[in-house]
Amino acid sequence: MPTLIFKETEACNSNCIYCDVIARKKPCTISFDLLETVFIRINEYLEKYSNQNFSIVWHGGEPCIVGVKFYNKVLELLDKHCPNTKNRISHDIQTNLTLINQELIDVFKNLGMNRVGTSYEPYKGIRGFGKERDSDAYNRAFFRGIELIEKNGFSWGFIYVVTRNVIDKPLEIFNILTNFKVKGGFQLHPVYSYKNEDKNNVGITAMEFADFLGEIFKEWWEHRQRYPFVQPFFSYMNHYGNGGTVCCSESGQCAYSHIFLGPNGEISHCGRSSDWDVFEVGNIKEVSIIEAFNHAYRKDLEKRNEYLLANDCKGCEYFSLCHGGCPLDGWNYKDTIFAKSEWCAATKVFLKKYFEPITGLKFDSRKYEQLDLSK
Amino acid sequence: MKKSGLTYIVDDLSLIRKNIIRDNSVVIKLSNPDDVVGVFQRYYGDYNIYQICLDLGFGSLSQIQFNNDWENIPLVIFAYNLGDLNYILNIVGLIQSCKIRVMQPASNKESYASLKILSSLGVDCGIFFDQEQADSEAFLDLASYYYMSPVPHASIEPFANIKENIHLDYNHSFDEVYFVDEKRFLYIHSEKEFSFLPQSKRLSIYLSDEDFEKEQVNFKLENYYGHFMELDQCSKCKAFKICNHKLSSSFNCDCQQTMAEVFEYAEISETVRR
Repeated sequence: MPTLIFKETEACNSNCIYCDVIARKKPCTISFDLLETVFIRINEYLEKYSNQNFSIVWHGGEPCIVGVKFYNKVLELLDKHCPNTKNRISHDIQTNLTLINQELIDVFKNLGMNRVGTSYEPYKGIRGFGKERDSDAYNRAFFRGIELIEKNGFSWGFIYVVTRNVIDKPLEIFNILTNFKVKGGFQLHPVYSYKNEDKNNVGITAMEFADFLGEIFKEWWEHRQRYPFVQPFFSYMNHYGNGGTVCCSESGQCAYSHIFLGPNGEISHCGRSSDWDVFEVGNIKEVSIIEAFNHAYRKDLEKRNEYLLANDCKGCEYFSLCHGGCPLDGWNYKDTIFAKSEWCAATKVFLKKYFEPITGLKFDSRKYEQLDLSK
Repeated sequence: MKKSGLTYIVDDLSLIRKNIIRDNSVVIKLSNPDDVVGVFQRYYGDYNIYQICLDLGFGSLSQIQFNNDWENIPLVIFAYNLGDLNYILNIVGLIQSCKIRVMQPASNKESYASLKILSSLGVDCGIFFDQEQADSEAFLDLASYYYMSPVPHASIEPFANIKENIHLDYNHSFDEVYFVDEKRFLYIHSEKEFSFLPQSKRLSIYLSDEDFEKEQVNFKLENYYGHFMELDQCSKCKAFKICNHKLSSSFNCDCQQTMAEVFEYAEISETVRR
């Protein structure tokens, strides 16, 4: 199923210290005329591929900043342009929850949403409003948002971005996060930055991230029944047992799964490629979604696995697990998607130094290869 | 959540009126054991009595003259100690047939042995925390008895509540055992005022449902989310899920370690049970 990462706006009410959208983009919001074109294009795609579904992830910027009027327009355009295909379109949202209100939730329900992806940062000065990055006001609004979505029966999960500010206190942050979301339901990932620009000194190295995960993993493993859904641990456990890939960035399969659309109609591959201006495919006004999926760069992406196996990742026992990591990280590292991600080292060290000795599990690449072959 | 559906807590009988209680269930707080039967008989039928809460202060359980009239009364008794054990043992059959839970203070060293006795006699019981600090070793010993002992025994709070809710995917403190939970209980102070805790800010009982919900969220922001705003020790505690700050100053030594052990015991006993 194609997933459209749709940044209908790049405006945001927060000022996160590591955000590439704030650093590199202007706070534009899509016009209703262009929005209409988007749904014509989506319908065109689904009419052609009648056995496929289509997923839209409303992203930003902050997607709640556009208000309820915007999403009512979306509903109107779905009725107008996708009368026979709208049931094959699903909607998700990645929001900071600080602007959510009952009206928005009601319209999200009408779009069929019942879950929310968000982010959480308990430490001050990393996420917050305004120049001063007011974390207290931000978190107060965030907690109110959590209360509101829970009252409405929405489930939620969050991303925690590991920065230099917390690298020396892995267990402390783990306890805070699992106290906040009891069974887990969050993903730990390192702060990513364009060309390793790090004006605010928040970046961490792959080795630091591996050790950070490793310290937490010891605790998680002992109490994994208590808070099972902590990523990436849950996925690694699952996939060491059953085979398969961990997440989009390590799937080696993203060539034809994702597409990005920005507020000016610009098409790219995913959120990160857009933030970094890689894979510029054209504009939705001129390029259909079908054409965007047939763009030449996707053929290159498809060849990446084969290339890495013969070069950067030659002989790596974990290749079938991480596939050289996210192509964008490869590009960020060496200006080419045919390079492995610099975060591969974190994966490898974490698995070798912590995961396997602690669990007693050994990676069996045959499970993955069989799975890949079956695809 | 709206006010309807919550349980009202009153210690002034004059407030037990239809225009105040409406269809809500009610906890009636009393301090004189002689009033229990009469109060229950007077209000039972017209009101949904969730529990009668009898607080004997420094009084003993044995000062109550139990008889058959007590049998159907949902009752929680806060007593300082058991008192005359012979008397208790003589009427234990009657107590067992009643809907009674006996609570004793954590600060009284006798309580831990007494609660084991009551529990092993099949009487539901529990420990409550007063102003003085409790002995964490004795508390853990009682917890291990409740969770691990193969001897058949009745429930001991808050351990039973912790065990019952340990698999929930949200934080659930055992506050409800002590009638403190803003999602379940309201303290009614007059025909115009209520609060979420006995000592917390008083609010108008005439709040609209919408305003009431806002106050509930405000209360939670201050009390629950406050830990995550301040990043206090509770927010970083391994036992926050079962404790939620409730016992943060209750022990004579590290509360985190004590409650983390209780958490482990509860998990082990659940695993064994399954």
